Amino acid sequence: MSGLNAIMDNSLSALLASQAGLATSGHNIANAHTPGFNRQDVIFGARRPEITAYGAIGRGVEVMGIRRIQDEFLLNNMRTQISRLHSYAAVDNALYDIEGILGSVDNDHLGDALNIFFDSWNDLAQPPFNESLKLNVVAKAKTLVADFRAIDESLGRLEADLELRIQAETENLNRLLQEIGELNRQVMAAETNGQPANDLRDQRDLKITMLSEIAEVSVLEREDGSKDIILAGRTMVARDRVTLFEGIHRPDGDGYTFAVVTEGSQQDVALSPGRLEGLLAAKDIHVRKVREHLDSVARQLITEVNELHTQGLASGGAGVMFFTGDSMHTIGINEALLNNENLVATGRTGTAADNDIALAIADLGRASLYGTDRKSVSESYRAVVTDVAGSLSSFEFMVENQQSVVASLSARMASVSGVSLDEEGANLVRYQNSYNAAAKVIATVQDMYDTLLNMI
Amino acid sequence: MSIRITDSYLSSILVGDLNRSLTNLLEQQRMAGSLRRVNSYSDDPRAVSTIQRLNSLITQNNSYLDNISRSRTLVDSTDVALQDISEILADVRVLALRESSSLANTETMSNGATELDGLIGHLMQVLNTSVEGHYIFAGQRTDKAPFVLNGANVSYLGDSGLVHGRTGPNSTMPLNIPGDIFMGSQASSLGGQVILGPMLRDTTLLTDLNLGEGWVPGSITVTDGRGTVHTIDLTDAVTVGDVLDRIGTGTKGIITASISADGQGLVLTGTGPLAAGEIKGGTTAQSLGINTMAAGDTLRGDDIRALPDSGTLLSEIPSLAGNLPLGSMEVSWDGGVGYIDLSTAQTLGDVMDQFATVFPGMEIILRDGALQVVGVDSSPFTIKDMDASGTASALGISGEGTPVRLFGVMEDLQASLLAGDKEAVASAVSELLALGRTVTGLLVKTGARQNDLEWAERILLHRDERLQTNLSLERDVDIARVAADLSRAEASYQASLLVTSKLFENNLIQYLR
Repeated sequence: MSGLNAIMDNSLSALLASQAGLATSGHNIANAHTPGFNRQDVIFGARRPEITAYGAIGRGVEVMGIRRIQDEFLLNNMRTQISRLHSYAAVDNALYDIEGILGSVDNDHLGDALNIFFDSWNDLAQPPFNESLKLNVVAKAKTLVADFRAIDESLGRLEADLELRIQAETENLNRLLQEIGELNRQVMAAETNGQPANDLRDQRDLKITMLSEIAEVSVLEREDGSKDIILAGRTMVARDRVTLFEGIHRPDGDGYTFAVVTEGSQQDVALSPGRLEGLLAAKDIHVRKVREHLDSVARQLITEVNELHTQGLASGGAGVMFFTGDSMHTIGINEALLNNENLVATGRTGTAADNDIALAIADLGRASLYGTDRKSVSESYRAVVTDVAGSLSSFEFMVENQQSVVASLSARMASVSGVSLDEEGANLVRYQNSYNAAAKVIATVQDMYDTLLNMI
Repeated sequence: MSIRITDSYLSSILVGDLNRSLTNLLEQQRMAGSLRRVNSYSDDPRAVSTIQRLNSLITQNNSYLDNISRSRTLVDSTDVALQDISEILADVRVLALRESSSLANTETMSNGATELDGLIGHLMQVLNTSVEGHYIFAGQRTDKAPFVLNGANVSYLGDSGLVHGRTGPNSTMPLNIPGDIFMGSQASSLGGQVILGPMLRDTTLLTDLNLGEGWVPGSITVTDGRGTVHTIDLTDAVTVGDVLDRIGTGTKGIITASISADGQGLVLTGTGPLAAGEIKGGTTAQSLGINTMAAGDTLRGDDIRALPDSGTLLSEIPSLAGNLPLGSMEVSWDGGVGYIDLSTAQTLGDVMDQFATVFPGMEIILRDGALQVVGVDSSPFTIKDMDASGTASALGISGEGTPVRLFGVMEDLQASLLAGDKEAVASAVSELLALGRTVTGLLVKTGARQNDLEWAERILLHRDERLQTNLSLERDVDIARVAADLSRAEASYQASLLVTSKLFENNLIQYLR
């Protein structure tokens, strides 16, 4: 049969449970705005009752554990969406930079330079002829060449910048993998008593989420509480053992490509979506594509102008190549023309007013010169701009959509795992009342003891 | 499913809403500030392509307008010079009439010779007119004075090349009058009787029509049998085929346009009466040879063939249809006679090459779409058909070749004046009259070019207006709409800020005591 001491024990357990509740609410309130923190909840359970002849008598309350509230499925889904968001954003940023290099609607510098160059031929072709306009043609060609070169240089800087960012992200990735390995070790050590190491787990989940920004990962939890991180089909973190990545330059034709490989074994990694994959795609696909297209525009300009100009006859001699080179990087003006603008040919006969070559070169810049099957140089350039604008617009749209998806999942995560100050305030009142009530029971038992002792 | 509202949930939702409001506000402010709907390429990729194209077309259009301004300088100068030449020829004719009259005597004729000297000097000066250092009557050799005094004779150092100026997207027009055309030659010449332009084809460029004079881009009207007037925009047409297609499409198939069976002009077919005409005083229909009407179901246009060249196939020349293969001709001159068999000739170039081979001293050239034979000197020569093929007649070089001269007439006149030969002075008057008519013809041609330039300028100005309007529609904002949107975006952002501040103000903790 339960005595006064047993009642005291019951109340004492209630006092301790209330204290645990208050401490947990305090912890929740303290971390209400800590990134990656998941709210915690005390699990109370009734102690095993004392079985008597007339029934079971309760023996108070005990704290069964403290759990953190988290939806693992939601978290994994959010990480996947975060990986995609950062992949799109990396490409979007690079395309934004490319758009900046090409100019804007009111500052279409290469388009304007092309128009002005062809316009200078039109001016030269127009009778009454002005020989000094040959100098103007060469000057406008210089501007055009300088603009091609400036774009080439800017794209080169963008590629170098992207490579630096890829290096930095690779280092970032390695650092996070190492931190997760270390947290795995700490979690395993802390959970040997069977109780979850909630705060260490929160920190580890936060690191994994940060890792997802760089590359999409799969996470497998072991029974010992450690989490394996699988990236691009390779287990990069197994308990506290970590495999790292490195970025290397690999020779490719005249230049090189930049590749991410596993450290030591130097095996190529086909990266899953994420910032790192986005940066590599931006460099190897999007910037390269723009460069190839602009090279093609430069080549078309060089070929078509030279083809006509070499048919001409100038007062300074037979028609020479007007441009040199075969790409945006190598385009230049024939040195002979720079030294003697009289070598600019306007016609085939060399007579002063023969202007058929000049008219034909001026026509190269005209829209719809060749019908629908072949583009003029200006149209080819416009196609590049439209392609970049279309890609950027698509990526902006995808980033915006993906931000909404991530924001929505993040809000749902916050709804499930976030701290509600109202809720914690209510819990504070609840635990305080429990504590007061348990103390009152102890005071009552104390009175009963006093009554008994006064009887002696 | 009920949502658990937590501080971070509230925060993420409200911050997201605030960001959206602010982004929208910035976007509206950017549009209001720049008055542009499209600033970056990615704002509207479809519109960007159109905007760039329109900008490029506007730049080109402005170039063409500049071209017209420069072309006008050349054509106007030519016009003034031709008027001067016409006046000088009239003065020479008056002088010749005066000195061949009964009142003339040796002294007046001698004074007349001195007066003629001055007129010849003036004529030389006019024919060596230059604009910005370029001689306008020198053909394509504009860098040297074309007419020089060579002893007692005047030589022409220019060529017969035409100088073309671009006056629109698909049009060029010749701007000069090569000096040789009205100077003629000291040598005897014969020809120009038959235009040898090739048959029109769908692929014939409109700029080549009318013996290289080209066409005038613009719109035309076509009226069908019911009296419905169809407006056909031919501004961007490039080939004859384009014109045929657009007339067919523009009249919804009621009228069919085709090339005439002889290949010389256009034919419109449909239920009559049919008519084609100009819009706002243009000359497009005229330049296509169809500014006319027909009572029946067929409207036949004028000859608008292109200029032939040495590569033109004889079989492509409509006027030679009954004369192929060509036969033989006889060429006779003072003290000699020769024969040429042209039966193997396939092109005009073959004809010219074979002629030059058989008669090395003589020259055969293409001028204004016709063949012209120039003799060795001023001695006359004769060309005639030798068989039923009628080759010489068909090629337009049958008859007697005589000298066509300007300075020659002047020099002969001067010699006659000094010799006191009234009869010889009188004989120059008819030749001077013929020369005057030639110059008047050139003045008419130049006047037509001035009109064409004016019309082309009007088209370009109209085009510029249209392009600017289209550009504005694609690129610029609707100010009223942006002002309203901006105001709404500001209100929305302020509301978001207010709500956010209110929501974060209160929670249960503040009420616990």
